[in-house]
This record gives sequence, structure tokens and C-alpha cells, in this order.
Amino acid sequence: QICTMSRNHIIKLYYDIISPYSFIGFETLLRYRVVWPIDVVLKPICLGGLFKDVGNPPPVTTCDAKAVYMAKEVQMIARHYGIPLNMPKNFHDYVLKASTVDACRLILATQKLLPDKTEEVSRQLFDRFWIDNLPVNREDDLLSCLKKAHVESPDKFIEKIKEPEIKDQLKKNTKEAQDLGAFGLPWIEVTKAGGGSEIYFGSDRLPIIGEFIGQSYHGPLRHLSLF
Amino acid sequence: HTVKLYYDIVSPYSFIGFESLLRYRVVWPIDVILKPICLGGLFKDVGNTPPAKSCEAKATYMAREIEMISRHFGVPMNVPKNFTGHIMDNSTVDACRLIIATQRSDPDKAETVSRQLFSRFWIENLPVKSDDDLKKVRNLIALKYFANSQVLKKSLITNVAEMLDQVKAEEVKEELRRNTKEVQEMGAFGMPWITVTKSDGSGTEQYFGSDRLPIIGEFIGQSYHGPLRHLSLF
Repeated sequence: QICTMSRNHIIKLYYDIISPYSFIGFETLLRYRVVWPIDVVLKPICLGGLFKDVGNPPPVTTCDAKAVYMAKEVQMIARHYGIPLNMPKNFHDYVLKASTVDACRLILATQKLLPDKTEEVSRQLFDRFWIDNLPVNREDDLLSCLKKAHVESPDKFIEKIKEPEIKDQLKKNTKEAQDLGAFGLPWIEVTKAGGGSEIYFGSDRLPIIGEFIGQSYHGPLRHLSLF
Repeated sequence: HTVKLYYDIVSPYSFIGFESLLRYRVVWPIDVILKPICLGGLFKDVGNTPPAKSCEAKATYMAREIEMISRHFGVPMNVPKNFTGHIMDNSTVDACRLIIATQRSDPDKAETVSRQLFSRFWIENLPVKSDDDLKKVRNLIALKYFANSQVLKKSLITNVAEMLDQVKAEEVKEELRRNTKEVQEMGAFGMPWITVTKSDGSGTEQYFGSDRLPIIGEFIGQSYHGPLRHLSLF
């Protein structure tokens, strides 16, 4: 008899801690593993690098009205998904002045040293930046996130992020997203178990992704929120 | 609940927002007020760049995304090969004025005229500019070749010449400017722009884009029922 157990659909999520829509996409997509047969592969990238390489000005800089609306919209969508995101007073300055490059490298270091903790480390970094509104660029910031993620020997991870291999991996992920046509985040690539793939930009595409893989959209699944 | 939809024919996401929102009148207790605006004017006034111009990768993705989302909603949009050229080189100001003219003389037809204009521009990929030189019209038969006269005929409007004249009327031009300024003052920088005022007066919320039906539903205490493709008029 032929084994009819179907493989999961593979979803690659490209994200950066600096991107609030990435936080929303990250939480909601991972939540859907409960109801859809999907595997989610986490791919941190450097959004600043991507913007530069594709010649895209950060959306918050296009015009004042857009920056004002984005700050409102992020909170509205986060609430809809049961994510207690807090918008700092000056959204524009907050995202333009902060660095999350080391934070993304930390996620990569975790993928290398302790892959099962990749999701939790990502979540702690997102929480710190988008709920606590604290920086994630200094060693102490990163140590705090590693401790909250219950990662043992955190100093090993801090050392790891300085290695060329990790820096290269971040560049590789960023180029990978760019080659898929990305110009912003989150960027999602869905490959069906039976073959065929599609790409999506943003955190609003779960209903359409569902249709692509033959599944139903079940709303924000707030009861599955980890907050 | 009162929903105001600000839109421009040139905006593909406006077409998706228009169709999907109007469809939801069947399942939600909403009234939809149509507010055509001039998107080019709005972009200029708020200093925003048309999204298709921000970078090449974005324009490429938008073309693909529009076909994907429109199919999800059962609206058979066609994105021309030269997507950026189509939206940058074709004026829809006359088209929006035509909708306003219809609202003033035959308000029940405003929705159909809007739909015909959207279909012409985004399914047939044909221009929606009125012929500026109506004086060149030797007889009424020549009118049938004008883009917007075809739109009016498909909308079962009989006083075609009169309506095309109205497109040039100062009050109509003024109303388009007024609508555009109205949406700008609400903070709009792009289309579609949707305001929702709850029937008990307990609040108003604003939304940008054609992806917010689930969230709008929650705001007014209703459930989102998906794309409702079986209600598509195409």
C-alpha cells in the first residue's frame, strides 16, 4: 500500500525585528501551524540592506500622512491579532534610528547553536523592541532576551554573532529575499507539498495563502496568542 | 453603519475595495457612500510618490499582487504589460467627474457608472478620458465612439451628451476637488480610503487599502465571511 501521509506545505518567512508588520506576520503565521499543515522556516534578513539594494525608500519616509497612518494601523492590526504591540511616540524616528542588525544575527546564531530556540529568541527580541520599546542593539539587550528565552550559556551566542559566518548568512538571507522580488517585509514564500510556489508581501495575506494551500482562513485566532 | 468609500478609477486597489465592500451590503447592515476623488491631486498635495514608482521590485510585485487579490475576490482584473505606463499615462479625472455628474442627476446609477469605468480601465484596459473637444462632434452618432459615452450607454443612461457636458461643469469639478480635500484632511495619502461610522454614533474609524474588511467587520460587530465570490457581478 502507498503511504498517503501528505507532507506539510513549506512556508519561508523573511523578517527583521525592525519591521512591526514582521512581528505581526511572525506571530500570526506561527499560530496557523495549529490549524494548517505547514512548516515555517524562519529567515531573518537585514531590511536596511534590502531597502538600499532595491532602491526603496523606507515607507515611513514617503510622506508625513503615511507615517502617521502607519503608526495607527500597526496598533490596530496588532490588536486585531491579539498582539499587545506598543507604538512609541515617534514611530518615524524609532524605526529610522534603531539598529536591529545584531538582533537578526543573534537569531541566526541561535539557528546554528540551538535551532529549537530560534522562534523563542525571535519572539523575545520582537517583544523587547515592539512591546517594551527598548533597544536591541547592545550586548546587554541581547543577553536579556537570551535569558528570557531560557538559553543557557548566553555569552556563547553573543560571541557567535561576531563571526564572519553569521554576518555572511544574514547577507545571504537578504539577497535570497531580494532575488525573490522582495522590496519590504514581511516577505513570505509558500511551497505546496504537491509542488508549486507563490510569494506574498505583508502581513495581510493569510486568507489568500490559505486558499493557495487548500485551507480555510479561521480569522485572527486570538485565543492562540502567546500574550 | 455608514461607510464612505473614497476612490479613483486609476487605482486598482480601489476597484477591489469597491467591489468587495459593496458586496458586503448583502451580509452587513451598512450603507455605502461613494466618494470619487482625484488621486493624482491627492498625491501631489500630500507629497506622496505613486507606489508603483518607489522602486522596480515594488511595481513588479504590485502587478502580480493585483491579479492575485482580484482573483481571490472574483474580479477578473487584467494588469496590462506596461502597468506603470497604464496608470501614469492615462488620466481618470474625467471618469471621476462623470461619476460625480451621475451622482448629481441620476444618483442610483452612480454605482453602475463607477463599475463600468472600472471595468473599462481594469478589465478591458481601455482609456476613460472624455473627448475634450465636444465641438468636433458633428452629430450624435459620433458620440458612440467616445469612451465615456460607451460607459453611459452600458449604464442605461440615455442623456449621454448632456452627461458628457456635465463632466466639464464647474460645480462638478469643484465637487471632485472638495472630495479630494475632504479625504486629505482625514489623513489619506492613497486609495482606497474607507471611513466607518457606527450607527449608534459611538465612533468612527478610518482604513487605508482593500485588505481591511475583517477588521472593519470587527469594528461594527460583524463577522467576516471571506471574499463572497458567489456575489461577484462578473
